[in-house]
Amino acid sequence: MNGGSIMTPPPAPRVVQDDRLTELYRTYGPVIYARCVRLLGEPVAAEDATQETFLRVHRHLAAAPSASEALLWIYRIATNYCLNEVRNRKRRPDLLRELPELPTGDSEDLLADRDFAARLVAEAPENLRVVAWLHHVDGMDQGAIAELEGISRRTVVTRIADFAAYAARFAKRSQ
Amino acid sequence: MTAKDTHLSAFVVDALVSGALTSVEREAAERHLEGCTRCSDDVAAVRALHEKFTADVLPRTLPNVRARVASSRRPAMVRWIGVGVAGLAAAAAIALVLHFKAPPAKPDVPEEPYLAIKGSAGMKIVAQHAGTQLEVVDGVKLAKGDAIRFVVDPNGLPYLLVASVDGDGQVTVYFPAGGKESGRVEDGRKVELPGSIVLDDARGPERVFALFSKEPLAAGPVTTALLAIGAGGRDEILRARTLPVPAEAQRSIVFDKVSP
Repeated sequence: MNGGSIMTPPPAPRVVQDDRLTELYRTYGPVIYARCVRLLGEPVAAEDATQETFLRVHRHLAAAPSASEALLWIYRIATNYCLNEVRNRKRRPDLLRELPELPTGDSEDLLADRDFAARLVAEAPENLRVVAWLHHVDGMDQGAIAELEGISRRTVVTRIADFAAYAARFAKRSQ
Repeated sequence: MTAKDTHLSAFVVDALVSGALTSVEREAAERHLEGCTRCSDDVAAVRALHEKFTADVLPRTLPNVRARVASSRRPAMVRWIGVGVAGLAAAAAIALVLHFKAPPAKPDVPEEPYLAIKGSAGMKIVAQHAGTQLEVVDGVKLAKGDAIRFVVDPNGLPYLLVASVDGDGQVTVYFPAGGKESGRVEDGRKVELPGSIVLDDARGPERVFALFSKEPLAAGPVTTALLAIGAGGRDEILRARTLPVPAEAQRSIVFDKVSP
């Protein structure tokens, strides 16, 4: 099962005097935080990323027509923000050395390893990074990625193929 | 193993724990969970993170989020951060939100339009270019011989370090000039830093950072961070908007040095 449409998230517990900001943070904070932990792998970095994401969310959420759209939207913002953070970490020269031993086999086998795919995505060209992560690490199918990112399925397919070619070149260089 | 085809995607796991799946989708996911240890573990991990956020992270971070949201609402900030790019990005985002009706096209939320809005201090760069004075916003083209000066709004943060990295990877500490740590600045809405800088003939982007802090920042880590950006070339200079240093507020502006 992949992707899936969504309904309005359940109301979060709150007290009467909570303002709109607190309500939004209580409602969407947990899912953003969990997402950021998974993307960044560090609770402290995830806390920062959650706050950064939420600042962007809060700016525009009042204009969003429905809570169901809002969850997709927030998810997208958090994903983009965290992958930018992953990209920034790429500046560290030791990142490639941190890559685990290459899985054996062709590039398909390579990308079947979630952890390896995650690290390879951090090295990938920027235009491929989000789609590659959503597909190979998060396990989302093309349709779900297209919906989440607001791009066409054809674009998703192309980027997945480009990333596979990138992974194949990486495997060849590493042999 | 990949999650494709055989396991719940990360999004479905998050939506499930958030109670955001339709009843049909939730039942399908729950059926899958009955026979899948890996996905059950994923769900348990996400659930634990939700609980941790509510019990621990939320109480600690909410005051900070509220303060930053309040800060970003100040109209003066838009003028000070200047940076028409931020305003254009916000306008674009709002315009896109207006197209949010079904079929819903997600607003194209820019990646980092608000990264520059941390705290409330600000920086403006004024350039003397081709006989005229102009405010430097992201992407402005300047040439050898143009003079720039800095005007800052410390907003109560007493220490400032202004430094840049250019297309040649050259790092310069502008304030205090060649200093080893932040210099003290007077408080006020428009504090003009002493002196002006005449641009050399290095071409390409130059990104200037203003780092406001409560305590002096050592220039060493700032220089190291700038060199790392410079090593990434033009694209990295254009992308990087903050430095990994403990400044309470950061502002950044990039301009392009071209042939006269």
